Amino acid sequence: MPGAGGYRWRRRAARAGIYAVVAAYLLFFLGPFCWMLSTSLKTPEEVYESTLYPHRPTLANYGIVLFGREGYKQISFLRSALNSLLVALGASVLAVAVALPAAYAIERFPFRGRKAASAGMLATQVLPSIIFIVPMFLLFRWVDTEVIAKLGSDLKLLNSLPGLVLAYITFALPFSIFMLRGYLRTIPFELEEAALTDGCGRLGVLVRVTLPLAAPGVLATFLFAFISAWNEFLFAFLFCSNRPTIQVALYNYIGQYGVAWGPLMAAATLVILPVVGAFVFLQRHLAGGLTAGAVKG
Amino acid sequence: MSRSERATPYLFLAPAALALALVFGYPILYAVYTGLFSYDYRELAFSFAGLSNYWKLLGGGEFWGSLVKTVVWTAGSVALQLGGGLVLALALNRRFRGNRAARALILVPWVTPGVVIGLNWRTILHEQYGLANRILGGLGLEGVRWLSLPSMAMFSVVLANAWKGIPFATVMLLATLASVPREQYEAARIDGADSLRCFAHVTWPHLRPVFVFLAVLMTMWTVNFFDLIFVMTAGGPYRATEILPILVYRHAFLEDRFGLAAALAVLIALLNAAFGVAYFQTLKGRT
Repeated sequence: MPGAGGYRWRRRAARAGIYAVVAAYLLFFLGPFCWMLSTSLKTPEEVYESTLYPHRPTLANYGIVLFGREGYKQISFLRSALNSLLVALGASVLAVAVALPAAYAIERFPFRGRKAASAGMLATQVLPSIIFIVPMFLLFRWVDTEVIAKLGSDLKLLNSLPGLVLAYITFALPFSIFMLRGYLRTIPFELEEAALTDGCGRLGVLVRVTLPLAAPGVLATFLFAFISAWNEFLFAFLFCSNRPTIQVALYNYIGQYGVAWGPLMAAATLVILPVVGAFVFLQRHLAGGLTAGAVKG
Repeated sequence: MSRSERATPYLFLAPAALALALVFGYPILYAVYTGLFSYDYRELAFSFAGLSNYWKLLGGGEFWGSLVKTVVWTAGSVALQLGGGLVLALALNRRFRGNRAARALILVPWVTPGVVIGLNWRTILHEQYGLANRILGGLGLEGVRWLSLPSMAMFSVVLANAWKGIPFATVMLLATLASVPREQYEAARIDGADSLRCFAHVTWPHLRPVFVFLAVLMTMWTVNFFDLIFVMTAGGPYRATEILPILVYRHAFLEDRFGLAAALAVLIALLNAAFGVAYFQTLKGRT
């Protein structure tokens, strides 16, 4: 049996161990962010000397990214940011609007095929997005050349933002249903029952009772879908290279700028700024909803 | 229940089912179909090839080599992510100064886009101007060829992926730790259990289901994760990091062999599904 002194010593050691773990991780986790920010503020000479921090911090790199440089042709960063914004908004609004009634049905009705529907949602996580790339690419090209062209329309699926929105539904919709189920489960059914007995229809209940209660969850789901779409690279890179999203533009800068890391890191910083902002704002909701969905599957 | 009442759930599900059939079901069927053809891109011509794409894949060394790389990439990443996540979750599950700030910040790498992560780590691990070799140099050590040496490249991409994935595991495990009733710890303490026993008999039984679920989910995500490796090494050097999704990309978009690529994509999906089913079966058997 250790004495009181031994016990205190052990507690101190444990506490020191915890601080060491957290400090080590913070270094590992914050280091890359600091490096990114610091590089974005460096002059080219400082990049070549790989100084730890900019000795003469400059915003010139951000100017180059946002407004271009003389005699230097490039895809406009702001233009690609707008493309990303439109696609992400379209995909997340569409995904949540379609996912909400579906999640509600799976969560609230004891209907035939309910288990299959919920297993199907989980199964979507199994499939690699690369499996959709090849057939979707062929399908979109076929629709463009065989269907739309013959109708004489200008609309296209490849190299168009609406086509990209359609492609993003593949990941945004299943995940939205999954997350919304987790939130709906936390809303007591009694409230809806009361509205039902008062003569409110199912759709009315969903819109007037459930939706207001689930608003934080719906907002979190929407933001998560938005962030995923904003971050998506593979579909955008292969399907929509003529109208680059912000991720594709950033990828193209790698070849364009070479080791001119200043502008490169300034662009990267600008790309994650809205993500981090939206995310920090919703961090609590997001963590809660994810676990609610995950624990029970 | 009236008839309209019975139809309601199906009406609610209809838009989602329709959308999923269109952007999910159809491409999968089309992939299976395309995999049965030999595809000549220059003439935009199909010719039926039966299972020959599959035989070509299973009989050649490229598929198996890539499969081994995929296993190393996935096992390394998930082990680091879950291991790191567990240690960090246990450390953060106590009161200490700065706890709240640490928790709020922790998920940020997980929502950072793959292109940014890949780009950032590429510069950190750059041989000449990178941060890693600069630190090693400061310690009087020789620089490492992180990304250009085939034997190091896999380690480097796994490291970057651990950076991305640890936060997610941590937050999920933290949320579960919060649900362990305090009384159980107190009871164990009174019975004279030390920290290790407390973990084994109180904490772990609560964590285990989520831990296993996370292992399955993160394994699938990692197998399918394309962006990071594509940006960091594009599958190189000398194909040292060419995991299966990158191989699909090469077959389809660099070599124009769409049939072969589709067959490979189907194989990946089957492997993933088999893994998932096996995992959940063993889980069912044990509980």
